[in-house]
Amino acid sequence: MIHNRILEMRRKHVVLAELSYEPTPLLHGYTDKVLRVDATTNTFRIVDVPPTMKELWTGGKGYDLWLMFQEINKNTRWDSPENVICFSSGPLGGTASFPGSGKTLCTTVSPATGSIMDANVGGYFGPYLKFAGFDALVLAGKADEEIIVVIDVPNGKITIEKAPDEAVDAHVVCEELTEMYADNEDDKRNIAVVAAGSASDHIWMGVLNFSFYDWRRKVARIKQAGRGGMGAVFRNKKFKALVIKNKFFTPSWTIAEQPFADEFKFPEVTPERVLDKQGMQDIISRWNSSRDHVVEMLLEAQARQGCITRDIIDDITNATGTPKSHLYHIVTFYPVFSLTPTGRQTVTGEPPAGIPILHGETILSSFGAPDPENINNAMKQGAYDALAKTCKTMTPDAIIQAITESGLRGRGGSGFPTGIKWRTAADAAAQQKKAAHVVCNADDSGPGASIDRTIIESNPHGVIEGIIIGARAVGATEGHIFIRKEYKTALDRLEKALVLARSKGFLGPNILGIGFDFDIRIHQGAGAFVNGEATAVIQSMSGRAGEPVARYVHLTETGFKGAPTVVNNVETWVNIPAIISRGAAWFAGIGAVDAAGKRIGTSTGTKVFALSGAVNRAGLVEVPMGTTLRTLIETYGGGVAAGKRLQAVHIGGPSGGFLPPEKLDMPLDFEPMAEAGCIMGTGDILVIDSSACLISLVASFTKYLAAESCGKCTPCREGLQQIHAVVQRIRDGKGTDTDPVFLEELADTIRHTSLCSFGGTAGNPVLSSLRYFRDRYDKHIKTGKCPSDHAEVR
Amino acid sequence: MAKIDIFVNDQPVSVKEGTLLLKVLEAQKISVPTLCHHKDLKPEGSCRLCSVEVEVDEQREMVTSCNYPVREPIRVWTETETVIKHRRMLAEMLLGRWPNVPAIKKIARQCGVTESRFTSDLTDPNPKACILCTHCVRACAEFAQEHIIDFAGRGIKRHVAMPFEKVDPHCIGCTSCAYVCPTGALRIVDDLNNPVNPTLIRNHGMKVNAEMATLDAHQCRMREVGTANIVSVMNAYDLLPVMNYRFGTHEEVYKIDGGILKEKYFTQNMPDGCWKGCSMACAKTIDNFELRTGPYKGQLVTVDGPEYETAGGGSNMGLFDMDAIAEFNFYCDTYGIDTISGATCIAFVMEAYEAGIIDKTVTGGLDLHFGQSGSVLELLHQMSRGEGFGVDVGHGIRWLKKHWGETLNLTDEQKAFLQDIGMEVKGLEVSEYMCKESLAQQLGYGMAVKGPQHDEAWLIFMDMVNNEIPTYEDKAQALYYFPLWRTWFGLYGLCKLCWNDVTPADNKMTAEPQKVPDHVNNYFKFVEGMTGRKLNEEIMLNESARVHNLQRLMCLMLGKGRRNEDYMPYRGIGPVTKVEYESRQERYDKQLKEVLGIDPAGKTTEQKMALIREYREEQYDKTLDVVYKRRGWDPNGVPTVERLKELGIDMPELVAIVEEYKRSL
Ligand code: SF4
Ligand code: SF4
Ligand code: SF4
Ligand code: FES
Repeated sequence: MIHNRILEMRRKHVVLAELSYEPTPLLHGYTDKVLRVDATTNTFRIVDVPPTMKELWTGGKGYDLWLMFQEINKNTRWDSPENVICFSSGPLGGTASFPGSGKTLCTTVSPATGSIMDANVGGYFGPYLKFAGFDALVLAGKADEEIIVVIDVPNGKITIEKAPDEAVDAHVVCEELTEMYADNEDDKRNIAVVAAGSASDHIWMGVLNFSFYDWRRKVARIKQAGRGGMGAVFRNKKFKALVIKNKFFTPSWTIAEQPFADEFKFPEVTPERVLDKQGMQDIISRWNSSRDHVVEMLLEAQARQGCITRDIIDDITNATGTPKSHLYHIVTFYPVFSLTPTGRQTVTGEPPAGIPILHGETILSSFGAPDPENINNAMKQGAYDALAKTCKTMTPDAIIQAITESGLRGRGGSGFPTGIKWRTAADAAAQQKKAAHVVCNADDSGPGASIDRTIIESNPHGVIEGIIIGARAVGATEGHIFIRKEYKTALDRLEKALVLARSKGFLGPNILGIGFDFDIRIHQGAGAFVNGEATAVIQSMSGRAGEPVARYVHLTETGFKGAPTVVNNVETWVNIPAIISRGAAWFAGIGAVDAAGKRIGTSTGTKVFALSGAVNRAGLVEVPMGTTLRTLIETYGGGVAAGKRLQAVHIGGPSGGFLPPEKLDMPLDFEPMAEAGCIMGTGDILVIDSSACLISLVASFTKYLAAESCGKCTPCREGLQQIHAVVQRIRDGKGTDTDPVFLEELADTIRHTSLCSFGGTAGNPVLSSLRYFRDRYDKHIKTGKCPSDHAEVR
Repeated sequence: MAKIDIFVNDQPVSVKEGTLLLKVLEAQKISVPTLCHHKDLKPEGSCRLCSVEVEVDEQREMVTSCNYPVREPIRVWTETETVIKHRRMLAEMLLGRWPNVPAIKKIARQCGVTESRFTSDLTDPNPKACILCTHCVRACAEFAQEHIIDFAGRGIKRHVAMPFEKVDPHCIGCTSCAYVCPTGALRIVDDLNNPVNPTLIRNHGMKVNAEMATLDAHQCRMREVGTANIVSVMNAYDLLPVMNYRFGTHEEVYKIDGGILKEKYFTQNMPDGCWKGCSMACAKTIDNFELRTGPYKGQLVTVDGPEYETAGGGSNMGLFDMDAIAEFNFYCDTYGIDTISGATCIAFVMEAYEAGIIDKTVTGGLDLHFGQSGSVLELLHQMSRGEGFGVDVGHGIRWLKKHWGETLNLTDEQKAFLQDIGMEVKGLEVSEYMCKESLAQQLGYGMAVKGPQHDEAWLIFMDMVNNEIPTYEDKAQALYYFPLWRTWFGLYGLCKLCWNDVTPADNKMTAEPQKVPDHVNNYFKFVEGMTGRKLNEEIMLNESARVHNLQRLMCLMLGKGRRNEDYMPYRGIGPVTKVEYESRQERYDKQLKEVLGIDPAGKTTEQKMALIREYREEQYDKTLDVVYKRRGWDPNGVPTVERLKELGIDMPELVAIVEEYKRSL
């Protein structure tokens, strides 16, 4: 789109001379042609370079000087009409595979020295001159009116044009001419302009500016042939500018085809535009044109347009500077995006509402208020009291001390002590003199996972308060909540709660008057199981696909934007206010005891589980750490459903493990669970009765896991694929005797060599079922049939 | 950095803290299979082949050695049963997917695997398949900083792609990606110039790209702050021009150095090359800079720079204010004013103003004390409008000296003073290096054919910072070799910065580190790859000398280009004023004593200055003689006909210039 102003300017041009020509192709760095433009006579001459000239003077400055020598004499002064300005790049100019190969050399008789001046300069003019078919350009003569010279390669013509209206100042005229001669935005980088500037009309130290279009910044950048007053000579000859319009060149980049390449072939037809340019701009502005929120922009665009188009990607790149390749990675990474209107997958709606709460102790007890984000109600129930307490009476150190003493361990992963994590981050922040970041990961969820979501939906202020307290403890000024967009209710409540918390002065500058500045922003995720990984969350919050990053330096040292970062999940954060309010000792005192009143396990506090499957009552249960599986199922779940026989229990979500009935007395605590071959994971507990085909269940997990692997590391990408294939063939009665051992070895390698804990745990369903239910495998293999009550192999 | 004692396969090894484990293993000649590792790219840790067992705090775990930094006393095992078992499994996975790719077969062999249980419908028989090693994606990001390619798809569908699986026209064709690809899956040739052997060019160009990616952050930081990185270096070595070259250092330099540019001004992590594929990316900008003066006041603009010369020009004018320098930079560019001549000339005017030689009646009312940024900018605006004192200033120092001599009532002493402090040679203002202590640079400036611009002889760094040309002979030789070598870049369209603003890690160990021999060889190979001609030092020097002599002869033809034009003003050679002498009294006194054998005690500053001056000017003259001779020029600095013959450029029209000059004597 060219502005009218520019079109108007162009209409004023009067062509004084025109030459049609065929650009000579380059051979071994040379075209062996020189263009001479005479401004006095308005003529062009294309001259052959004789072999001796090439031999003796090589190119670049050598050519310039030799060509000049043919033109000037001992009486030539800078402002004599027979003075010339010569331009030449040289045989290596215009190379992209060797850095620093794009200079233009210029020579003239200088006003400052009255002698021979030379200068070298960047910008695209010299290389483009070569691609336009000329090893050098000689500007001779003197015009009586302001002129420009245009070398138009695509149209094969060179013109001298009167150009009265263009500016003289370089940064303006370079923009004007770039826009004037480019067919579109993309074409702008094929334009190179040479111009001087208004002072060059009056002084002797005038420069020549050489432009190149910076498509990322959207400006015509300028580099200077600075020394000795070349600009003064240029202006004295009444040149306003030189322009080269080069051909588009598409690099010859190719990559070997992949077996599944067809899936990534897109029809040429551009989908009809539902989301117009303005609409897209609105979305982008809503997210502050920030690179940290490109996923959100894409999600909104997908919802509005029904797919992601090139335009959408271009718009986001232009506004945020995120490379297009990164955006493309994102949209091919998450199934919610599609690239064609038909869509590879449709947008997922909000999953069904949270399951009922069967039992609460500390976290879940405050649930059930009619409008949980109502801050006044929440405050009546004690919300933000803990924050006030920490602000008034506790130093950051004391907060960390309290959390450490409480024994709180991260609820999301392998149970890392929260206090230690905070301490490391606080120390790192102090040492690096940087503000830390705190992150609440609310994306930690498999299919149907509901715990984090329910906590946020029912107690958003508790989560927020926990984050604020943590922020002060570690010295953070920015907090982030990472939550998938599809959790609409939770997201809404959080957003409202944040606004209300801000209005009460719990967030924002100078919180509670103690000079503590902190705020929280929400990052929406596009939904991926691997986003349970903290490093993947940071990636997603930084404009990248949510892939984990291999690292041995912890996020607490360098995380988001290189600053020390604490990532905890929702359930961990929501525990913080209670610990502060009621004291570390109270929290440390929570834990299941055996008949003799002795503590079972070492962890403190409670843990929420989501009980489902063949039980009488399904729902969320909050129990003290160390409570046995049996208590959970029998006391809170009402026992195994009537008429069913317990076959197995699966704990921890997709990458959790199967346990046999003999393990019912296992305490639900990190270490015993790890020993038994399962994990806290998502906190899902699935009770499986004897009618189910266990191998089919394993297969459903491996299928899910193989699809959720991010694909970055070899074992997880290749291994899970293979695991699923083997489990499937066993399920289908086509297994071989060697399969179980192969599976075991494979899962073991995946577990020990994977890059992140997704891979580190993904072997669990297979390994645990092999460990406790080997007979099911063997029977499937030997008989081709399933030994379960349902009797038939599916 | 602290050393840490670790055990590798039960052998004690002491390593620098933070060293990557794979480096330690390589140094111990322990081989570990790798795929994603690339010596010139940041560790990725994605193939997991390099996994070894590590024991920390009595806990054993598998870690990937390529990205594991040694930070505590660990025990490492590289060949345990566990390691071998997992390695083999990984190799099997890869072999199952890409059975015919030589790189994969090699890894499999290394792990003792010949067959794979992993065949599936994803098995790709192509021997040039993409094996997801990630090298290309990282090279595009780290060598070229372009981020044109990335992975796409999730899980097993992960693949290398440009958006929508179409070639992105923004790809600059630098070929970095193809260079690092171990299988040949990825192909791209840089053939716009239609070279004889593009691979030869690429292989040598990529060596420099790799150095940029791995060494620049520890060397010149060109990618972060461009040439402005040397502001603080010049200041530290007393070489930064301060207030018309009187001094070489200033306490407020931190306000205009690379540190502040990086932190507050330059947009980071952009592929800022002034031509495509330049990994040095030193063309930095200040984006969205709000102008405070002039016709574009209030506008947000992109400032191209400041580069070193402009920042140094700032200190030369006494501007220790980055906003002012940025605005100076912007207006100079858009008005078409040379920042170097502008700054040097204004610095001269400022000194004349402070010395009382000119006053406000001359400057049109402008206060031109050092550091007056408002006046400096006003001068620029006047140059643009073609009015006022600015226009006089825009004619340069030589013109001003003459003009003032004619229009003001100057004493001889004042005229001599202006001669001494007016930093121009041949009518061109000196660029921004304070070279009083560097004889090599003084002559580099004085003898430069076009005038005192460092591009022909930037010797100050090797002379004063790296101390690479300590002796008199070294300096004379440098004044022969480097102007020719530097001229050479101009014959080919090349930028000199990539030659020595990043150097190979082992450059210091070479016989002539100041030449950066490995890079010289890269350039020779570049020429060979492009044109088929093989170069060596002699051919190179001759190519250059032809052009160099041609230029000198053309100057001669115009009545210039002789010895009397090759002198530096004394400000560039030694202390003109007492304050300069006294600010470095220790140095000068020492020179009197040790070099001249004169006891400074009891002498006045004036007396000592005179002695120093006599000595230094004599040195300059002597060196001039030596270098002329070395260049094949007569004592008047005119190329001899023999030299022209030697170079094969004794054509009549050139010989005629020499003859005519001889006749004129
Ligand atoms: S383990 Fe799996 S999810 Fe984690 S990085 Fe590797 S491929 Fe990605
Ligand atoms: S040629 Fe250069 S810019 Fe293009 S994809 Fe390869 S590395 Fe990136
Ligand atoms: S294209 Fe080549 S360099 Fe890139 S990931 Fe594939 S094999 Fe590696
Ligand atoms: S070489 Fe270390 S993970 Fe690939």
